[in-house]
Amino acid sequence: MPRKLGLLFLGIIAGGLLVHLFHAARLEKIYWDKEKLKVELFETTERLARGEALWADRPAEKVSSVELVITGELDDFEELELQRQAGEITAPLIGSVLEELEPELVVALLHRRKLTLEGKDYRLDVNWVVIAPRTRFNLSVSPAPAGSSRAKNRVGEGAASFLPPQPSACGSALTAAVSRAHGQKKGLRFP
Amino acid sequence: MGKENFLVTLLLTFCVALGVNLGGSLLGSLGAALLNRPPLKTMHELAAELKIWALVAALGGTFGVIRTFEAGVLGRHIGDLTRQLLVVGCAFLGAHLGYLIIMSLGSHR
Repeated sequence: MPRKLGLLFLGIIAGGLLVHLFHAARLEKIYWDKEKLKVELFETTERLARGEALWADRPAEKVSSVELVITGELDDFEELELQRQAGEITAPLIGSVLEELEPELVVALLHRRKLTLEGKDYRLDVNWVVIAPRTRFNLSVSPAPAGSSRAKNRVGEGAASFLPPQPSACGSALTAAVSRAHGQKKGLRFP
Repeated sequence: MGKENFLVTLLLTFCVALGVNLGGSLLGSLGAALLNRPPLKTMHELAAELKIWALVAALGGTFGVIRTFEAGVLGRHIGDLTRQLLVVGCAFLGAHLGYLIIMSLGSHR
């Protein structure tokens, strides 16, 4: 019995050795690949940490200009005048810190706003906005239907209620909107 | 020590040295694989390190051999001295053969 036991152990060791020798090269390759990946992971983590530190230390970006791209059936004069009026509304954006801007409120500045031009009402629709140092609004203009009002906006009751309908008073309203936005962080949601 | 006896001693020494190196390296490599270490690299390192130990193990300890050398040199027993040198040489050959076999196993690296 002990002899058989000894043979059994010897067989186990011999079999283990054979299998091990058969797979040793692959095991070795796996080991070195793992080591290589460890090094890469370390380097990537270092790079990430450096990037995060740089990102945290970067100067805050501000809006330096606002561009308005207006499309619609307008003549040159109407387009210029609408650009002027819309520009007055968006002017307080200039100088705002980008991170502190609330995208919904930026959209709500112009979306479905009614502007009056030579007794005719026009409605602005915001197609899209790029919030960047050179902020860009893409707007569609259409004649406003009779009886439409800013209060029917889908953007949100808060935005609609504190933004006045007249462009001349919009500066202070936007300032209020932007300062409120500082306290609220929401994701961009186009209306 | 007769001639036949001496040949047996030489063969035994050779095989012991070879076995120590081969077995130590292979089983060490198996252990390395179980412990997530590189098996071939460990095997090569062990084969190199065990060469001298295989020599010692095959000779059955260093002091007896050294004493024989001493007696051979001082007592001018050149025959004994030559025999011991042959035994050491066989042990070295066995250990080195084991080393070469181990090296050839991982030579595709």
